[in-house]
Amino acid sequence: MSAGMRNASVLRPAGTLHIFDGDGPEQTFDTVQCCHCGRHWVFEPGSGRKRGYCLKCNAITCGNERCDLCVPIEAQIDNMEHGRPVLTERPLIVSVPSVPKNLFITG
Amino acid sequence: MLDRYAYAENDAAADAIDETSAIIGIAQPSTTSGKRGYLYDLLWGTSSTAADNQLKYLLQRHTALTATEGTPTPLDFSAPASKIKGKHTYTALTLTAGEVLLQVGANQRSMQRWVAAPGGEFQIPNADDDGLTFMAIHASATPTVEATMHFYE
Repeated sequence: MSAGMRNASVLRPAGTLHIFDGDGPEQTFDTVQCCHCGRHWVFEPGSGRKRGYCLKCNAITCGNERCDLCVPIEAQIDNMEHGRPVLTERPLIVSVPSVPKNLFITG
Repeated sequence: MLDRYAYAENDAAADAIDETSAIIGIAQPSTTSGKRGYLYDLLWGTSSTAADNQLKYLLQRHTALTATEGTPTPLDFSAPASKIKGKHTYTALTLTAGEVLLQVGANQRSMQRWVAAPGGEFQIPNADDDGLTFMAIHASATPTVEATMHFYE
């Protein structure tokens, strides 16, 4: 890293924004990514912006209302490719254990 | 093995978020390519006479466009021509509402680069004409913005 300002603020950034000002030092900012829409933004603790967190994805969301619904970016891309509405939710997958035979009621 | 490409173009900033302020883009062809694209590096700055104008830069998804088609350059000379096409000199653009993927405000004198960490790339779906458009917006100033996109497919 060259001499300049680095505002590293997250453990695992999804991207980095470099600003090279003609008069000042290079500035570097970490960006984080919404797990639902894929948007990147500069992470600024204390900015006052409300962000979200998806417990299903275990990841941060941008805070936009449309991203409150859990449709991960991979599912949204898949929806776009198949001509479905972008926010179509993924089909529910449920694990069903086998039932012991002696629990069946017969006759 | 994914092939990597670069595409560079320039255009003037404008005052509206539409085809007039579009600088550069990458998009699927009008018949799907069969491949997804991943934008991982974006560089931009202005080549006009230095001036203190605060520009807004947007990267947004689009679903349709009319623009001049360009040919991205493979970073590996042995790679085939890219399926995803470069776009510039827009005359029509249909942006996807709410799909602003990157928004930066910066002085015209500065130069910016955004680069993704592995996994943080912007994806382009394998759908007709879908892609990403980069725009530069200012209420009155119209500096020429130079931009380069690096992507793989």
